[in-house]
Amino acid sequence: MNRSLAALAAFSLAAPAAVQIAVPAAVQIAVPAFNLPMSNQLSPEALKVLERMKAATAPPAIEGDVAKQRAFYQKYNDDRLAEMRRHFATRETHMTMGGVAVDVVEPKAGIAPGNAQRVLINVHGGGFMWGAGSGALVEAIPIAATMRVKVVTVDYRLAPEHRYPAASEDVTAVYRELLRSYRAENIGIYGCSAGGVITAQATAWIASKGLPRPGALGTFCGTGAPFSGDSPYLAGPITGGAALPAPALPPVLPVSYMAGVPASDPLAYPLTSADEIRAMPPTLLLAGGRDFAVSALTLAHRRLAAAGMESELQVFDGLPHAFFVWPDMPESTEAFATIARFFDRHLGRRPR
Amino acid sequence: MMRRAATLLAGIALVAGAADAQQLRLWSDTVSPGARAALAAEAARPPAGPTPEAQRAPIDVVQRDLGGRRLARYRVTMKEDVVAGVPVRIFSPPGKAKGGAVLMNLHGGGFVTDAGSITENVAIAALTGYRVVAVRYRLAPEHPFPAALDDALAVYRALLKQAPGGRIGVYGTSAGAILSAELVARLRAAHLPQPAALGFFSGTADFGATGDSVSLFANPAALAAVTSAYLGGTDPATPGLSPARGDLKGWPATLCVASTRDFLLSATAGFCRKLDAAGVDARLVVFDGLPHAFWAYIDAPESDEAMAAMARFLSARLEGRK
Repeated sequence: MNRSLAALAAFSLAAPAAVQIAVPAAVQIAVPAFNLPMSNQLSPEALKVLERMKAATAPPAIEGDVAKQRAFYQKYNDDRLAEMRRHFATRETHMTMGGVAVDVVEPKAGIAPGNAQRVLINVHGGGFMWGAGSGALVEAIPIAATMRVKVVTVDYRLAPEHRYPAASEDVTAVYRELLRSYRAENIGIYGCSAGGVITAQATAWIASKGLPRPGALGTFCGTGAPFSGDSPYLAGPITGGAALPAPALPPVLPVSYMAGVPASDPLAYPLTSADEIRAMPPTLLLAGGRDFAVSALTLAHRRLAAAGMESELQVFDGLPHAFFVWPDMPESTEAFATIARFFDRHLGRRPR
Repeated sequence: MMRRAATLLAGIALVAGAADAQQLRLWSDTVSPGARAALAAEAARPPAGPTPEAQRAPIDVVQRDLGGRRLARYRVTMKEDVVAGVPVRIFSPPGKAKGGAVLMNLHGGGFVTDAGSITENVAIAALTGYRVVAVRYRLAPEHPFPAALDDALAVYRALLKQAPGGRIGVYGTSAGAILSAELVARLRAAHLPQPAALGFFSGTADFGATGDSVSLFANPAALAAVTSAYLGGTDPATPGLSPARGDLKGWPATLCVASTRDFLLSATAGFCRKLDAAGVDARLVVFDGLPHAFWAYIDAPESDEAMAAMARFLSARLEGRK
């Protein structure tokens, strides 16, 4: 979330520029510098939001200083939350569920009669290191209000203090508690960025504990797979950031949360495991076309589709990572509607 | 418009040494060795000449060579025929073709060439088990809009009569995807039966919403030339040329396929979103790191995967499955 290139930036810092020179010309293309206009698919409102995003970009100086990053993104998410509240009317209850702190978000308009037996779990983004509180509400509120459904957003343990599988365990604890009131097929899990990664990981973790899998998933701007493809290289320059100088992407997510976890661990990287892919619930993958994670999402979607799994991909041209935390544009409204429609199509309705 | 995109990418590689150049890996780590080798061979072909005839000759060779290999591999038979006065190629799967439905293809090739009437169809006939009728519509610039669309409509109407109560799936790549969507728009305007499924494989349904991928991957002059050859003197704002701007409620189930180094990625993904928002059963599959319409001109695992996804979707929707 919060269009932080933190994960990638952290990785690029680790790759000395000298490595680039050693790369044979045959394996890379020197893309000449040129002026890329804003996408002509974007609404006039989106063009204004893109300007505001630019002004709200994290200063490079705080890169790697978790305390300063947390302070920065707290303010950033508070601002987004104020905007969300101007668009959506919800009420929130802070509580503990399965020993884990959560916020339960309900639409003030009331839960739709058809959604009375359904619940969504949100796993917030924030580079595995921040995003709790206002950041979580920014992701939960629009979906609760658009779909008129209850959303439980999980205040999972964060890195660098905690490591994988802490978040999977916390989401599973909440899910286990919700299973007392809801059928598994009536529960959906979704998240953006780090939350998209944890959504996929937690689903695999849930099954590994002998629990039934949820009815549907949404992994947005991140999924249960390492970064791959073209987008990590293109996203920096086309969103006003730096180019990624590395010759190759690491086979694991280059974040402290995942340190030491091998790429072959199917519960950590379920979208690269044939067995896990064949067991995934219906999954919606959604990202902006300028998102550094969009290539990883397209590949995960291909793997699901090739295995005959019910999955959908939507790409929002011209928009960056986690664009829909900015509600003041029709593209975000559209994304919320797409997410709500997907869960409505795939979640069960029968009472427990 | 298909090989041209691959050539454009090769062109980018030649412009080395710019001061602020961004280094992009020649091959994405997601691209198979087979696709790398095939695309390198493709890029090494001499560029086509400027006249339509000079553009068509090398592309006809690809259709014959690659198409011939695919016919042998899938044991599919091809028959030249004429339907409603329009030349067609009819592809039959090995054994007896399934009844109850037929597939109709509109090939790619920038409206000026035939870059797919064989290569786009062999695997689809074999994998679905249905007959495929590939429409060899009149080409631009000799025959601008709406000649190709008129030919497509004539064949579609004949297929409707041939198979009363039967179901038709329509699909096309690149120019053929554009024509497929325009055909559906025309059928809807004329209150004629719509196809049961649409394959929209790297196209556009809105000439005004080109998006980032055109900025990133298209040669503006080449794109303008193709567009003007197709449109002739027709105003690009003419209703029916950009179906994405119209009412899409009740549009047939549609599979959209594109790739991330494809100048039509943005338009393809954008159309899928519009369809989804209108409540249409619309799916998008995107192949990272590969150029425009690669499945029509290279043999690679990704081409097989794309054809399998297309065939799976068309079969399922023709047979009333999700």
